[in-house]
Amino acid sequence: MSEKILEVENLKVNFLLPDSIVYAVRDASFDLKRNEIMGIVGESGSGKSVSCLSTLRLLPKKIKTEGKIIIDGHNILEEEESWVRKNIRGKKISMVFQDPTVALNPIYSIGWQMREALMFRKEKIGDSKKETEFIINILDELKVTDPEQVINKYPHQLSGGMKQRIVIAIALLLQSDILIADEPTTSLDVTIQHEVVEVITRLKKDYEMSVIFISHDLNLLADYCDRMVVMYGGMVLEKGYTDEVYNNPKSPYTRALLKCIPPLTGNKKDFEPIPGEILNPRKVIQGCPFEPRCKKRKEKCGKEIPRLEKTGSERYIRCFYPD
Amino acid sequence: MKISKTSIFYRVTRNAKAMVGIIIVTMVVLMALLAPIIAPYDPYEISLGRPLESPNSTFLFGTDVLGRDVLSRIIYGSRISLIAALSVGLISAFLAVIFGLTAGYIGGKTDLIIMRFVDIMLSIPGIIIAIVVAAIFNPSLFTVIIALSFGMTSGFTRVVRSKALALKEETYVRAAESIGESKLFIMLRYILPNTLGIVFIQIALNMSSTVIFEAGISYLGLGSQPPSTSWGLMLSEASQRLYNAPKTFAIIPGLFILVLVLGLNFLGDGLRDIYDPRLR
Amino acid sequence: MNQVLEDNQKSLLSVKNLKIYFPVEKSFLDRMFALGRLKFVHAVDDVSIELKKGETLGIVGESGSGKSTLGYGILGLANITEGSIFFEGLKINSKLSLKQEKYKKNNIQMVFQDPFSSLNPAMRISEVVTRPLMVSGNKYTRSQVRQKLNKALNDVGLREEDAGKYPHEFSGGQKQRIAIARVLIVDPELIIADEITSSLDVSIQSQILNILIKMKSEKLSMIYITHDLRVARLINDRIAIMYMGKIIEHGKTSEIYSNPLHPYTRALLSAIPGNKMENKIYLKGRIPSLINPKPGCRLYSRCPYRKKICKTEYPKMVNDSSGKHSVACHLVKSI
Repeated sequence: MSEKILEVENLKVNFLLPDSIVYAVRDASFDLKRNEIMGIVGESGSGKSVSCLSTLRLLPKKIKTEGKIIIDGHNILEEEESWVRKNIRGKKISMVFQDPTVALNPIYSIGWQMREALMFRKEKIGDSKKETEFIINILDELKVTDPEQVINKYPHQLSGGMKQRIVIAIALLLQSDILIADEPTTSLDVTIQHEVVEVITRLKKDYEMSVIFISHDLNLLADYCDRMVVMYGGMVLEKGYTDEVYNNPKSPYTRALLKCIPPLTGNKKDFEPIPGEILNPRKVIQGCPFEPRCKKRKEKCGKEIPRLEKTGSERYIRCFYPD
Repeated sequence: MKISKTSIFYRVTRNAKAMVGIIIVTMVVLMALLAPIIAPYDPYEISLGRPLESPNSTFLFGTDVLGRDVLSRIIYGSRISLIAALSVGLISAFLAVIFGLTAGYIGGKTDLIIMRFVDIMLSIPGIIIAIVVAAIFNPSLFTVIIALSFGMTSGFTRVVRSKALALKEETYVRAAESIGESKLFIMLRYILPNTLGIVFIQIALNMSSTVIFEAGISYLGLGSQPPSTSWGLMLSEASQRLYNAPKTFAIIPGLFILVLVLGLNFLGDGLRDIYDPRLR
Repeated sequence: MNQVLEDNQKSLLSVKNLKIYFPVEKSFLDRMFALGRLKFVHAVDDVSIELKKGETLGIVGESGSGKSTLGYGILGLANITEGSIFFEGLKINSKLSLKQEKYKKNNIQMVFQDPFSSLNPAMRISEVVTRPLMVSGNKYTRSQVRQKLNKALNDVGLREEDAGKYPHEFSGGQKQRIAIARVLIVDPELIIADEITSSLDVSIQSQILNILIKMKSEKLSMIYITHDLRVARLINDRIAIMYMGKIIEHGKTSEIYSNPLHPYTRALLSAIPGNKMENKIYLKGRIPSLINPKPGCRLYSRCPYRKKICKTEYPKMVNDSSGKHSVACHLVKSI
């Protein structure tokens, strides 16, 4: 049994706007084990991104948080900003975002930016020549062709897939234990997506990094993740080993999600849309967040919020009437 | 009354800058409108008191070199500044919208011609235009308004044009073209309403510039002529008598100019904040 | 000649050898310095497609494939460099009479990709949706307009009360419904949908797709442009795969998905997450430039099966006997 290196316990994040409260995360609990890839799937407003940004405390100032985020025995939510900056950001956890174009500085060369990242590494390399070697090595490992030429290039000269791999390489050379990838392939063409995801899976294998992979694409996560978390309306509705969640979903939401994705093979008539609007994060809810849209809803669902219950090894469901 | 949280009214009232601006400008406007009622004396009547009196109980701001009540002149002076500001603001807006929308949306040769014309206007300093216009017609508030309208239109046109250029690429404009909307209708109903934000801001800023320029041009003798109550003219009169006149004589008109310009600037800045799409 | 016209008349839309090239050197000075070797982006390069009435055709490709440009070309929003577009037998990319222009405008409509910018923020929904009626050139009474507006809104699952609101009061999915209502209100013969679900959440996307399925059952003819092969399979009778401005494979949907022949098609299908298929192939390398492309197959630099001939000669399109499947690849001699 792998140990847990990140634990999110009953996380709640409210954005305090001048005229309203946004319930970005209503109740999220999940954990990340060493050397695993964990997927978090959800649509807009599910809270998947904000939960992960919370682990790095990369949130605006006017917020209210509850719950715990535990790394190495520390509750991140209670630590000082300076502590988080020194110990977590870029150290324990690195993050890769959706659009690689804005993650890289357009006026500096790739080599310059990677060398700059090296300054924040735990074990400094020191020697300039050795640094360049190190960078070229990492790029090589990530199957970047002609790394010696790439380090002299500028971001606008590279393709989206290439840029995303560079961003991941930077996370890699920082020796972070955890990589959070927030929709890393969404802005890339589908034939390039594969390159980037391959790189991420190698991180787990060759570098013993643990990865949280956030996406709206259930099928993408099912291909690569060890465990999955399904979120909707700021709450975790279902989680467990990928195999189980994907092939035998118990939450009506997960089931509905799988059915509303057009099938690539098999009967087209299996396609079933999910009615209704996505839960507005400003809305206060009394019951299950998915209730207004759920096929199987009963009276209790709208009146009481179901709890996340354990139903098996690593398996949790939040539903009064699971399938 | 249910006020929509995203309505203009709501956003304006929550923006401190805009509110301060509105309050200041409203007070000046009231001063101008109610001048006959609130001014204690006739601003043009001479020898009401001894010349160059310091502020006292009879004349709250003192008297000028001809014995006229400074307070009454200040109050009536607000009319000059506001008339100038409003006229220039509206005339330049009218012209800039026509030129800017056409240049930006129609593009091509039309754009080139309009913008070359605008560039020429931009390259001539406002003061020079004022001098030329004053030479052709006799200097007066009217010539100031003509000159400044001319001067402000060019920059304004540029602003409107760049917004039109940006809006031209919006999907809803493409969609309108694809269903066969006429170019004129697109300019009026699709582009213009979405430029109003920056147009209002620019009007406020132009108005504030106009107040300063009118004062400056009148100060130079090229604008409002005596016995006009223009604040700029009052400053000019004061500057010629800095040694004999009470200190307040030179400070007061300047102070009022300052406050009105600040008010208009705050209004413009506040409007700019409100229309910033990032804050939606 | 008559036979050609007859064939064209059987199809609702017939695109023949369409080329849309964009000049790289735009200004007079740039063109002077080019010294004769002008550069062009071959956005759409010799594309031919047919669409019958009541049929849905999917144009599938990644970014840079030219699929959106093709859509704009058919609509008349992009300049045609060469080739012809026939709509109900009429050549629409040439000078048309006023009556013909009006007919074309009212019968070929497009729904655009980005719901957040496809509606004029300054117009209420009632005006947004009824504008096409107002510019159609036909006369309608107030009550006729009202009726059509309500029907269009209901068809897309919106309520009559929504007509008085402004676009910003709606969500992305609802805005896309409004965009579809705007198109349906004039009852066009042909609808072109350009990536209309790409920026929507999965559950909302499913609702929009459902509307399209409903429209399809009412025999609406549609060209659906997308990069998403799952969506393409769901709603299209036939599919054409585009790569770098060319159609490399096309045919009946079920044929293409069960028996993809072109390496690019196979790579596209392989790359879809959750696709359990055998013999997946992955492409290496980058997409080459669309500017003055080299001769030979466009996939040459990335194709794992490339041969010498692929570099020098562009493969001819090969059709199977029933016309259900065509592919342009040197490795496929016959189907």
